[in-house]
Amino acid sequence: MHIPDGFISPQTYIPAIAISASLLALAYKKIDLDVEKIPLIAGVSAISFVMMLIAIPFPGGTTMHLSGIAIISLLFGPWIAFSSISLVLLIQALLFGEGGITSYPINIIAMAYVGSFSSYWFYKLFLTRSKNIAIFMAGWSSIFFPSIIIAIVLGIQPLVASDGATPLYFPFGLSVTLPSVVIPHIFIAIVEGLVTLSSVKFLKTHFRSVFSE
Amino acid sequence: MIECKNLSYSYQDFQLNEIEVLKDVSFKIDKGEKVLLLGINGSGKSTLLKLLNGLLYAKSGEFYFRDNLVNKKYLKANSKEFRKSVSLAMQDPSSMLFNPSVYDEIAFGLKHFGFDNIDERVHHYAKKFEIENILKSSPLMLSGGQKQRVLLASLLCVEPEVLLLDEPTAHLDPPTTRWFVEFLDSLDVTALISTHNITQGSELAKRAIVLGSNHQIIYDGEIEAFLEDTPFNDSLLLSR
Amino acid sequence: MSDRAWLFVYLIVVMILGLVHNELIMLFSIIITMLLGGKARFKIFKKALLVIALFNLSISLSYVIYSFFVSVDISALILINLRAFAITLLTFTLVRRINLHKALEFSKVLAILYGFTYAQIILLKNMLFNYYDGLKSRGAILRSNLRKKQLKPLLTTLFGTMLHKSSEQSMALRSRGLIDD
Repeated sequence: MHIPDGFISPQTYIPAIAISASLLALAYKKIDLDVEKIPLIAGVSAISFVMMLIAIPFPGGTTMHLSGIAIISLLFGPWIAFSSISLVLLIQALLFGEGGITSYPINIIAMAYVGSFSSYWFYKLFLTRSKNIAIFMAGWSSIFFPSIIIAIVLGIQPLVASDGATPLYFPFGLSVTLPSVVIPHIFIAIVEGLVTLSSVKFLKTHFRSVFSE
Repeated sequence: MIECKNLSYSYQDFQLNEIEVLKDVSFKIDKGEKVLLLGINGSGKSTLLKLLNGLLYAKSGEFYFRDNLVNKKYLKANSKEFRKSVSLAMQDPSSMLFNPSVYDEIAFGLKHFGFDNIDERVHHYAKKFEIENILKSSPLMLSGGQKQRVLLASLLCVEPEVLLLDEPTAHLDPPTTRWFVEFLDSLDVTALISTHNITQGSELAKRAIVLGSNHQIIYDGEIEAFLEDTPFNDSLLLSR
Repeated sequence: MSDRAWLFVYLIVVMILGLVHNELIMLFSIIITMLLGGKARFKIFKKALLVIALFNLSISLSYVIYSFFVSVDISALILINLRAFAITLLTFTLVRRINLHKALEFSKVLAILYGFTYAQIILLKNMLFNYYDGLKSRGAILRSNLRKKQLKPLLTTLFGTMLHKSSEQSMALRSRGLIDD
């Protein structure tokens, strides 16, 4: 889901820099980040990074990569998840070319922020109904809502940055990006939800001393 | 210099089970002594070293450094002095390296503990540990052996009185291990060196403290005598 | 020029490449970047090309097919692809040429965070790939994708290692005097 470089206009990423910087500053305050907390954030970032490398089978014979954002958000809290995944996205962009540097602020907002907080809030929302449904919905929402943001950001590029009718960045409008990005992610999100459900329950049982409520 | 009296330590694992790691450990190490800490995996060697570095607190028993009882209160009041005097090199050097370059890594301790002529000292220790050519490199990108040298240079440049080494030759190839053994021999420092490499042990120190699988000390004395008296297969596997 | 200064120059150039809409300038940027790449320039070039290939090819091909149904200017793809490549190439060249850790020195917290995160990533990544290799070696999987029952032991090992390593790093910061007792 990472947007690579070159497809996002400055008219989009400059305001996104302002928004993502504000969110990161807020996260810094909420976590009260100091030297003592560094090892935890480093560890959570590292495990988020590695979880995104894990490939699981997807119906139809293909594979998909785990996101793990909801797992991290439910186990460590949404602000730690947001900070860690922002760091992971930066490392991915700089060292591995996964996601670009110009699209980094958008990737932070969509994946790190919306992903972490939608999973947290959907968990809270569905908890009264059933814990299993809550965890599943946390996983599902961590993929679905970011995909909407990504689809919108890409789809508005021809509107915000064109030379006449010629697109200067991403060439497809909302009528293409919304169905082509969001619809597949509805199904990817289901698999993510199921993996989140089994993983969170398992990890909470296995690491009782760390993740006890 | 160091005295332990009936130290015991246990912790809760991830599943909340109580795990005993050390039981009634007592010994004394005099100034300038180099002592080997032997034991099989899981016998409590790393935990003991961390206790002696004030990173963990014993469940019972006492630990004295220079006749001072080392507890939370003591460490709070004497943190900087203690940290300068007692240095620990962990088994995985990556855990302890956090500065952007090798130069910065060595300079860190010198700056933190108020040394002067920092640049001169960094170059002196870099030369001693044969790492002058990598001063500008990031510690993250080095080999295991290079990381070990960088870590040792970073710890020794602040001239600690006590050196606690956890499996110091684990990442070293034979030539570097030889270099390390000779280097340690030349140092005027009190040292406790943990290893499970018995054959190398006698080259590093004359005295050995042996932790058994029962987490207690099963031997404390001359290493040569221990190796002669103990059948190889039984040596560290059975409690006494 | 210091690593921090190179980072600053890089960010300015990336901004310029985003604002300019000229294929020749993109090409010029690519040539200059390759010159800055030194001996590793062709390696970096290949890496940048591979990284953008999948996404850019799929967008470009889709747009070409789209042009059969809707009247669009396909030449727009030249600028779009050149820009994507120019920025990606610049990013990889920067990372190769500077010590990123050093460039973050302005903030002690960020610099240590980067160092510790990188160290943990290497450790856990190796663990993951060794796990794949172990399963393949024992005939349990053919390619590097896992089933549910294989995921649980992996997650246990990864989380256990991560928590232990974080605890060690925390102790290391105390041991070296960075955190007060």
